[in-house]
Amino acid sequence: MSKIALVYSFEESNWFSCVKIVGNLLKSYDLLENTELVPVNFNEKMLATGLRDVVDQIKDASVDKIVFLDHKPHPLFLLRDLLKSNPEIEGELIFHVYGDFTLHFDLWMTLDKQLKGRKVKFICASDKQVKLVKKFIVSSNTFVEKLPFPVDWNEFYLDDKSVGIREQYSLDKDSKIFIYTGRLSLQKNIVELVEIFLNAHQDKKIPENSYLFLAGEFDTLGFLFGDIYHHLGEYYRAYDRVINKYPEELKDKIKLLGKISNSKLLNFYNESNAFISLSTYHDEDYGMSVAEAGACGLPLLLTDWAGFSSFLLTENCKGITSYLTPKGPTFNKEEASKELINMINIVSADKQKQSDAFKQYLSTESVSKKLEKYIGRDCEEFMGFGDLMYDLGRIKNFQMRVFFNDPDKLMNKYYYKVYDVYASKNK
Amino acid sequence: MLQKINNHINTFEKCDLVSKRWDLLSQSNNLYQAMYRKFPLNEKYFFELNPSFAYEYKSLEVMLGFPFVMLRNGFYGLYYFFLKNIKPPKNCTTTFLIPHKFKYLIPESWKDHVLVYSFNYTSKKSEKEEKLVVYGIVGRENFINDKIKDFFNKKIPEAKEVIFLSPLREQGYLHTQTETELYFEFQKAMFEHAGFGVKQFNNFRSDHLSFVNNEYDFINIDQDNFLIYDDYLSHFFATKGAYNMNPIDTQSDVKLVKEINLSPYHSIKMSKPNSFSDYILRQKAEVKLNSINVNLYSEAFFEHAIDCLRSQK
Repeated sequence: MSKIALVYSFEESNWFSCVKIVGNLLKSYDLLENTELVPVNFNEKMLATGLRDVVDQIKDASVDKIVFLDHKPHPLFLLRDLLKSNPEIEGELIFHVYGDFTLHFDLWMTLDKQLKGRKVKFICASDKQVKLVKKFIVSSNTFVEKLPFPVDWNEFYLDDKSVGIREQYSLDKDSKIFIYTGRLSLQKNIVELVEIFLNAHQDKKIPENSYLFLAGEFDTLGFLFGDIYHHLGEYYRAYDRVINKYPEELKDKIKLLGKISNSKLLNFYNESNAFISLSTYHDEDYGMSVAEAGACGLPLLLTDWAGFSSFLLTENCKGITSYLTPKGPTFNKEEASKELINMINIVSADKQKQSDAFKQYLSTESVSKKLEKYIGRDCEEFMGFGDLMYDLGRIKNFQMRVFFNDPDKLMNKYYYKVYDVYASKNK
Repeated sequence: MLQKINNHINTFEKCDLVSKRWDLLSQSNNLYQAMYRKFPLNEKYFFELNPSFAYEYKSLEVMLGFPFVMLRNGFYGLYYFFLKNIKPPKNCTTTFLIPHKFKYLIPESWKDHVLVYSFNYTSKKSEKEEKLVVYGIVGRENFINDKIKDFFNKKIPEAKEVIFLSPLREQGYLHTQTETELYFEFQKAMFEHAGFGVKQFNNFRSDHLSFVNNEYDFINIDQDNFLIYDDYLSHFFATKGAYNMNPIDTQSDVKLVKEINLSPYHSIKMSKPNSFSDYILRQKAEVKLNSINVNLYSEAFFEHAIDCLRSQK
């Protein structure tokens, strides 16, 4: 019987997808056999009030492994206290790595000393993230493996029953619905998506009864690494300026749905014909909404940027070439237009086949089976983070924009060094 | 004017917005600090026509370097602005957007250089009326015409979940004003009205309020708009689809020059003022007669302006 401390914040994160991810990972851990799980609450408030109780809980539980499930707080804050005061703790340390890995070089660098010589496993959500994390680690034999974040089939599944979405939006029953769900944000390339969709309409390359549903809220994230900061309403205005260039009848082809609850999302996915995301968000390590859309059997049109490339599981998943440029990541717009038009031919594809492929890849049960293997496998002692982590950790100690060169306002050499594995090409 | 707005929106550059300029100095340090105590109500938001407060510009000359200046000030800042500038400068090509609520402050001499604006909210009132956000910074200038209890009795319906977002500032607008007592009086009235289940936020972080959606109604405790007309939080909550229970005013009976969406759920309406009052000319004479020092950071002028707004009701 193995005993595992599952460390995560019992308070929900304000990062919506992470709330889902942690919840679903817990379900996969719950399915492990011959394992006793010890849930440990580790949240941001504790950083101010002290971690003695958490440290004592882990120490007293005498666990074999300590798993960091959540994306925050950073494990450094707990391990610093835990391992310093209790060097005798020898349990394996397992880190589920999130998209914010590249935001915390300084913290990982500081943690390095504590990790060296211990058994450490890094679990990433996608193939490209595995490659990215490996860049920072000295030994190529360090345990860095892929495990997709799971989807709970009780929440997202294929259901052919209509719940009247088309009626609600006064669309005919044969209309084609393309859906995007997630943050409506600069690096998600929503404005470009809308332009590509409406241009295809204008050129009559897609049927007149094709609609693009955008579910989510406009945000102010901008492009942190590229020195672009947005004020409230800035990205919405960019969207509005673009959409106003088109005639009224075309504007109507775009439906802004706002933020949709999980239960309603299921209905929207099941009534849609395809899912589209042209995101090149710098930390798109996975793509929870893509995983959920795939679970519901939707054909996918994605960029091949970062974690999205791991979703290209069937012939009904298309990946658009992504590039690194001196101004940040982008994608091939001509290719996206072409694939959007091609997508029309597969919108009535076999959703069951698609859903089955995703079930096999990322249902809580499938993930649990892979997890069982990873947990059981032995690993070598951690030999430390390499020069790249130390270079970037030191820069991060002085400034936020580690990948940006202020004088020429372009991305710097570190950007290419780290993110080249997320793109399919460099320009 | 419509042509000027359309051209500007299609071709604007970041340097046309004071919120994107890091190279400009504000009017005075005292004033800047006084308004900083009103954060986040005066936080920046984006609109191509340059929403900003008069105090963000060092001088009128600097303002005239912008094609549009949309003043977010309440009565006090606008009263001061027009008292100081009864006539527009000769070289003025800037269009000033003035809150519709205070259009009586605009002297006729400004007629070729102004538009008035207000906001239109399209979110529907939540049917359940169960979730309510009450926000604002408690200050005596919020209760010029109504007492605190009146505000709750008249404006706040019963709701199951009440969120109270109100950063506590020890000082008011003027450094001589202490707001702590008023804050606790307000808090007491709120507990009496809404019970002890009220969830309080004493500082603003957008990610802590990410749960607010179209199931919420929201209301600003500031009904008089003495310091701020166009507050950030009304945009923040409206953008999330929440329902504004008490929009300041709307221009339903005027011919609009333009209406522009600021989010999927609210827009700004702009029109040419159809009439002008001699209010500011009369006030100019009164100020002179009573030897009131027209200074935004003077206690006497502050009190005078509060009396003016009270007598306007």
